[in-house]
Amino acid sequence: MLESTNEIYWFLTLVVIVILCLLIFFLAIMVKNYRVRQKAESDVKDAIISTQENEQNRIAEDLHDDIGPMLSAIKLQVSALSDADREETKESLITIDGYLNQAINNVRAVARNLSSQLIVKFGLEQSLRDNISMVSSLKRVNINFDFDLKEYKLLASQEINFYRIIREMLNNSVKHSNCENIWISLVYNNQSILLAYSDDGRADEKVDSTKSMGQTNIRNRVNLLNGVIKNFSDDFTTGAKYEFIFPVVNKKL
Amino acid sequence: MLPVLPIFYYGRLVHSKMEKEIKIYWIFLLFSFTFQLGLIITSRNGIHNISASMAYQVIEYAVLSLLFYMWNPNRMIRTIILIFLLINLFSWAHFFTGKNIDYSVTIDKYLRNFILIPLSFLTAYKLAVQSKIDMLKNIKFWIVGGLLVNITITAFTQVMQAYVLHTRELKPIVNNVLLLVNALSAIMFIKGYLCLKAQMKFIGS
Repeated sequence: MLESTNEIYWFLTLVVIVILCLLIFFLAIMVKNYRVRQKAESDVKDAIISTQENEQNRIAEDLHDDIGPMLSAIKLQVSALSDADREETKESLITIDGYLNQAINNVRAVARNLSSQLIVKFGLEQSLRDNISMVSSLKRVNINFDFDLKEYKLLASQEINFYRIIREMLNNSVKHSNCENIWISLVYNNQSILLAYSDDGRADEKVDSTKSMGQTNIRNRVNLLNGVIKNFSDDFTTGAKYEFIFPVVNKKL
Repeated sequence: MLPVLPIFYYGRLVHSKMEKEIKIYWIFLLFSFTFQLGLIITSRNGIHNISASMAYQVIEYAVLSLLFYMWNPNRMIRTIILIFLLINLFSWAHFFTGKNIDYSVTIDKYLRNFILIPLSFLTAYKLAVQSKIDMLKNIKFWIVGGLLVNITITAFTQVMQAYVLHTRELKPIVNNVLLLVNALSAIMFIKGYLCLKAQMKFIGS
C-alpha cells in the first residue's frame, strides 16, 4: 500500500515537473517572440522615418523641377512686360496664363500625392487614375490600368496603402526602368484581391534595390494588408514584375 | 464527445479562411473524436477492434507527419518526417499482413511520440522566431502548442504507466490526467480558431 502511494506521488510530481518544463518553454518562446516583434517594430519605425525623409525630398524635387521653372518663366515674362508694346503684352499675358494654369495643376497634383485625406475623399480608383494620367503625360509612358474592386468596400487605411504601393512602383519604373509601357491590375479574383504590376523596362544598368527604402516600403505595406508576395522582381533591365495577393473578408456593397 | 461540438462550431466559423494545414487538422480532429467515440462504445460492448485502433493510429501519425512536414521547410527535418511516416506505414503493413503483434505492449507505440515531441518543440520555437504578430493571437501557435502539450504529457504518462510504475491504483489517475490533457488541448485549439476569427475582423468592413 505504502509502495503504491509512493508511486502515485512520484508520478504526480513528475507530471507537475513536465508541465512546469512546458510552461517554461512557452514562456521562453513568448519572450523570444516579443523580442522579434520589438525588432520588427523598430525596423518599421526606421522605414517610416526614412520614407518620410524620402517623401520630403520628393516634394522638394517636385517643387524645384515642376513649379520652380514655371514661376521663374512667369517672372521673366512679367519683367519683359515693362519694355513691351501692347501686342507683345497680350502674347506675354497668354503665355503667363498658360504657365499659371500648369503651376496650379502641378500644385494640385503634388497636394493630391501628399494628402491621404484626398485619396479617401476621391476614392482609390479616382486617385490612382489621376496619378496615372499625370505620370503618363509628364513622362510619356503608356499605362494600362485595370481596376475592378467596385463591389467591395475597402477601409480608408487599406485604400491609402494600395495607393502608396502602386505609386511607389510607378515612381520606381519611371525613375529606373526607361520603360514605354506599364500594366497595372488591381482586381478581385477568387475571394482575394490581386495586385499585378509589370513594365517593359530596359534600363542599361541593374539597380541594386535590395536595401532600397522604396522596396522596403512596398513590402511593409503589403505586410500591413496581410498580403502574400507571389512575385517581386525589380530587375529594371528586363522589366519589373510584382504580384501580390491580399485576403478579403469584406461585405459586398 | 464533449470537445467535438465546440471544435466543430468554432472551426466552422473560420472554416473558409483556414490555411491548408489548419483545415486538414480541423477535419482530422472531428474525425478523431468521432472515431474514438465509436471505439469506446464498441469496447464497452465487449468488442475490441484492434485493426480499427491500428488504422486510427496510422491515420493520426500520417496527419501529424503531414502537418510537421508542411510547417518545416528544412530538408533534413522533412527527410526525418518522411522516414518516420514510412516506419509507421511499414509497421501497419506488417500488422495487416498477418504478423500479428500485440500492439498494446509494443514499445514503438510510445517511441513514435518521442519523435514527435522534439518536432513540436522545434516548430513552436520556429513560429516564435518568425511570427511578427503576437504569439497569443496566432492560430498556428495555439495548434502547435496544443499538440505539444498533448503529445508530451500523453507520451510521458503512457511510458510511466507501461514501463516504470506498475501500481494498479495509478490507472484511474493516469486516465484523469489524459482526460485533462485532452480537454486542455481542445481548449487551445478552440482559442486558436477564435484568434483567427478576431484577425478576420481587421480586414474589410
